[in-house]
Amino acid sequence: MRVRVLFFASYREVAGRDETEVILPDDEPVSVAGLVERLRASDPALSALPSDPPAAVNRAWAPPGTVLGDGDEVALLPPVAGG
Amino acid sequence: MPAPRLLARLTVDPIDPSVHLREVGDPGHGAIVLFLGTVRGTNQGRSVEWIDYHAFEPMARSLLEAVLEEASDQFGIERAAVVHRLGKIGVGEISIALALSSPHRAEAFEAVRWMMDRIKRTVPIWKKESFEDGGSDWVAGADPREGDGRPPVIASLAGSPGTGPAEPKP
Repeated sequence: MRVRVLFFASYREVAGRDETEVILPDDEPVSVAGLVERLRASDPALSALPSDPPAAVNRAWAPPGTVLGDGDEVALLPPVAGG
Repeated sequence: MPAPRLLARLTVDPIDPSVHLREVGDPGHGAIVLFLGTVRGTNQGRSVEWIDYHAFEPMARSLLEAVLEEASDQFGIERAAVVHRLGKIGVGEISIALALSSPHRAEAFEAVRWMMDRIKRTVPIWKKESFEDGGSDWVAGADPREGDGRPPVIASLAGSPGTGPAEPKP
């Protein structure tokens, strides 16, 4: 299955890109934390991302244990500072 | 009772608070509270020239709406407008305006404080300060998963059906 990963703010600068697509195995559940682990292992730039970033799945805040499905949009969101 | 009128927006244009005061006005209400957040000219001893605001826009918009709806449920607010500006904003300019009206002032003040705290902790917006010395830095933010003594924000935002806001009405 495929998921789309979006990077924002400082994570975008670290990653050097706005987004990436990741292909995950269909035969085992992968959580947000598992996805981040794969990303960090896949690329030297992405290895600089934190191991437990705040994340949203399909635009709702999601805990690290959230299991991903095909077509999900996962946004990695640095601690927020609006206002 | 008429449906609440709750308006949440993001904009790159300068904010005119008078627009939002008109939006929340109601002849049945005796109080309007307006909060403006402005760009501060110093941070930790460095002189700030401007702040560049970024957002995950669709999520930020829907979470601003969620904050208004939660405030409507908790404080009985029927008229509220929030607008957050994005992009490069100079010192002294308005980055956020929150206006609401209410029959009486007590719940209006209480709601504004609660909503600003909630916005700062849950809405995916970030700011990068540019300093007069030429440097720039992302402002350290709040992790929405941490609860600061209250139930974690994320528990209510991740949303299990039928559960209300994380914090009970004081």
